[in-house]
Formats: sequence, C-alpha cells, structure tokens
Amino acid sequence: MTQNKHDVVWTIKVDAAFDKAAQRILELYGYKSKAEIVREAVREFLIRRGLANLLGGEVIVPGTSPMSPIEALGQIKAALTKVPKGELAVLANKARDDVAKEFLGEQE
Amino acid sequence: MQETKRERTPAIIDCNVWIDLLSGNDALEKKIVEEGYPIIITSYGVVEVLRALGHIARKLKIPPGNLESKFWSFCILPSIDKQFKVPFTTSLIDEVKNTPEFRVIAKLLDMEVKDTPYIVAAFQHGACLVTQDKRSILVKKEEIKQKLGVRALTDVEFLSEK
Repeated sequence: MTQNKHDVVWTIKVDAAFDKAAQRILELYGYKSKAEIVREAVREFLIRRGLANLLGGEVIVPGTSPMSPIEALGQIKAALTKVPKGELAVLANKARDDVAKEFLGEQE
Repeated sequence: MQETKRERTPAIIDCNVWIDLLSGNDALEKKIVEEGYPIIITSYGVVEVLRALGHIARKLKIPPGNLESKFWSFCILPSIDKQFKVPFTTSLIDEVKNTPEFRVIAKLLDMEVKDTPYIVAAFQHGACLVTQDKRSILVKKEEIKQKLGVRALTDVEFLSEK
C-alpha cells in the first residue's frame, strides 16, 4: 500500500494462534501482508453491517460496481491471459480442493 | 446484449469453466454474454471462483481484491442468476450445512464430495451442469441423468445447447 499523508498506522497486539491463522491466510490467499488482511477484514465488516458508506464510497458489494459487466470481463481477461491456460486450470483445481477441504471437510 | 431467455434450461458451470470463460474463451463468451444463455451461480460456486481468482492474483502479484471486484461487476450481467443474498457468507453457511447429505450423495454416486454441491444445485434449479471434470462427473453422466435427472455436459456440448 502506498503511504500518503492521511494514512494512520495501527499497532495491533494478537495472540499466537491468531498470528498463525493470519500467516496461513497469507499462504492461502496470496495477501502481501497481515496489514492487508486486516484492512480487508474491516472492509468486509463494514459491508456486512451495511456501513460501507463509512468508507467514503469504496464499496465492493455484488451488484454495486459502476463498471459494466463487459468492461469487467475485458479487464479480467487482460489479466488472466498473462497466465498460461494449463496453469489456470491447475490454480482452479487447487481452489476447488481448498474450498472442499475448508467447507466440506473433504480430505485429499 | 440480448435479454435472458428463461425458457431455456439454465446452466450451472463449474469453477474450471468459469475460469475458462473469464480467461477469454470466445465461444463461451458469445453463448453467455452475447446470446444471454441463463447461468445460475450459487454461493459455493462463487467461493470456488473467488478462491481461484485469488490464486491467480497471487501468481500475477496483483491485489486479490482487484480481480474479485471485477468478477462481481461481471456478475451483474442479466443472464447470471445469483442464488445468494448479499453478503453471501450467510448463504454459503446455509448451503454447506448439508454436508452430511453431500457426503451421502457422493457415496451413492461414487464421486468426490466437492462435486456434489454442483449436482445438488443443478437438481434444485432444474439446470444442466457444465463441467470439465471427466474423472468424477462426466464419466458418470448417464448414471447422474438416470438417478437425478441432471444432465452433465462438457463445455463443447453446452455450446450446442439451444
């Protein structure tokens, strides 16, 4: 995250289990830092409670984006074409296995 | 873009087919975006796609939220019927609380548990299931059709659906 003059630095104390869980989230989801996880967690908290307006318009809720579906698809395609097709399939399969393990308790 | 034609059998597409669509499969894009073929997406499906996009974002070294927000924007498409409420986390909990049933169905059909949320959703919504999963689903397509009345299609077969 680029620093700007309005940013505020938080210092948060957590227990070891919480830290271990955050470390696992970094590995699973590809966040660059625990700070990024905290920012997203707070953003989700605000969205879930209908308080997204407190973010001053920064809302990521299904159906509220100003971007058209076609424009969005174009931008996703532009990003995904940088990854070879075979690798995309591997990542999709990995995602399916992760979600199954997480939500359905399915073992490999 | 055409209006969604509800008289057509809706389709549920699995995570791999979603990623294929999002990465530029022109034929799928024409079918779903231009022709407006009705697609149903459940919260379980969304979680799989978002997780895949997260892995891809990590690979590309871009923030995961970047692709995620664009995916939500794409889902505004009128032909995509979202079977969950916003926020969708609660819907997901409702959907996966039937895990024992998913396990029973997987055992009965001798398939992986991870495929059953798609099968159940297709059954529930009278939809066909479009998948690239030859090993677990397509190999049993006749049995799935016979026992549950759910048609499992390859993406190529789906493209010839009217």
